[in-house]
Amino acid sequence: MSAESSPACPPRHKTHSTLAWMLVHVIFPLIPFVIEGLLRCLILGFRFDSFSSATLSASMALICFFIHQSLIAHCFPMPNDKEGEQNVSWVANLFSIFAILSIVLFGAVVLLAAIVEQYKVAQDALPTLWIGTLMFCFIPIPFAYQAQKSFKLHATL
Amino acid sequence: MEIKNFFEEIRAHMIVAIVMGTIAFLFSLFFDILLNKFSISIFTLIATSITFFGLLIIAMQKNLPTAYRVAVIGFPRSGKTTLITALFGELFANRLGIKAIPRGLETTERINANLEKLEIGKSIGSTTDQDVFAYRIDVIRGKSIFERRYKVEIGDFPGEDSATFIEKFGNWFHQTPYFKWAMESDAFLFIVDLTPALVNTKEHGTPEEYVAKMTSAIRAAWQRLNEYHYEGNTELSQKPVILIFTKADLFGITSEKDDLDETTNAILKFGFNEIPKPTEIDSAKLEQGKEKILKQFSTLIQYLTNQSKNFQCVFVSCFSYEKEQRVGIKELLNKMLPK
Repeated sequence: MSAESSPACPPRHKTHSTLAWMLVHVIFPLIPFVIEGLLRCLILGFRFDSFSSATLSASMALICFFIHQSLIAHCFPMPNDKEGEQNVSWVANLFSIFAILSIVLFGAVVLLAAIVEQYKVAQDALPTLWIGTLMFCFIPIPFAYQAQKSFKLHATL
Repeated sequence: MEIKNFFEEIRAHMIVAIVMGTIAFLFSLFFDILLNKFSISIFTLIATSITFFGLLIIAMQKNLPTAYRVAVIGFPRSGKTTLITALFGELFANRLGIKAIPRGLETTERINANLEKLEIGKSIGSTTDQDVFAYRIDVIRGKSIFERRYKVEIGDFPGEDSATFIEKFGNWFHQTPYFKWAMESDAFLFIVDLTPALVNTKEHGTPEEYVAKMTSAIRAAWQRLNEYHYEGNTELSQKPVILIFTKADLFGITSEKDDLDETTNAILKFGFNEIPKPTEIDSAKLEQGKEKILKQFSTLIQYLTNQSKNFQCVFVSCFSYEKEQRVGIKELLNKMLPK
């Protein structure tokens, strides 16, 4: 008997609540970025560079990857929903592109930080890249929210 | 919507954003409002990003409309498919001022085929397992930048399955995708056929027995829904729950006829296989009939009123008219569709 059908082990209830889904797929992966920023603020005081753009882009890569997984695992109960299946597939592709871009951004930020630290050049470029990262990170989050609303994506909480 | 089209749209937005960024850059250079190259680059980046971001949100709203599911639950032969067809017929006719666009060829084809059957006086027939279908339509609410697009799905299930939904509760239930679909709906339409509430029928017995059976079945269905939504009963209580009494045109027959057997036969004839001719219903007879039925179902109505903050009763007829509008259809559409 499978674990799912066993009375001793009832199936885990998956919720389609937007809040639960956003918690699991967006808020939780952002926790390292927030904790790191808050701790640095506590020790160093509030500064522009207290929040690390490298951690943020790594968290965004994780978020996009989780959302991609949630989208590709989503199933449509109604048999006549070919359009929904196609839409899920292109939104999943979009998030995989976001994930790749986030990883590239992470690499760029880390590389630039190392170059600035070692050679003391292009110091103005770091804050610009930070703002660029922040701007980029604003894009997938509302997209994720709308995707959940549109496909009623599930999360286990 | 295909990914290719979406990226074409994104490309157009990027061009607009880059143009806006360039304007911002030239503006900051020309008026010398910023102190150094760094400030100028930041200003340009922010202007470009804000434009792109704004346009992206608009594109997203259009291409990823919010899903809104409407579950139609009722016993076999209660008129679920006929009701859905009538609802779509009204939406297609655009008499109600609701901006709605049918989604998908299958929905349009099926609705048109059903409408054609009704127009020539043929019955649509019972929904079978193979006919499980979600009728889709895009509903647009609000105007210009406050416009919201909803992807409305109205699930039509075989009556036999809906009856099971109401009557039986077992572990298997969690495994059935159609029922899960219904559980996660945003609006619930419980269909009550008026025929057995007016006369004795073989299937449901006396009207009193039918009322008791429906009350118990719908109450049980609501309890099952509450159990499923354990994480957010508040949310469930705010979803529209509509008790729909179908075949309201039968009220006309009951009041017109004096002979009991003749009345019974006339009502039973318009059960499932025969389509009544479109006629204007007498408002007084309709009100009289409504009052009687509301009294009969008072226990169920009281229960659902206490349970849901968004519960309403609607009497509908897909054939009779009242003040040149199909009885209850406009009211039902306004109550069940997203605001």
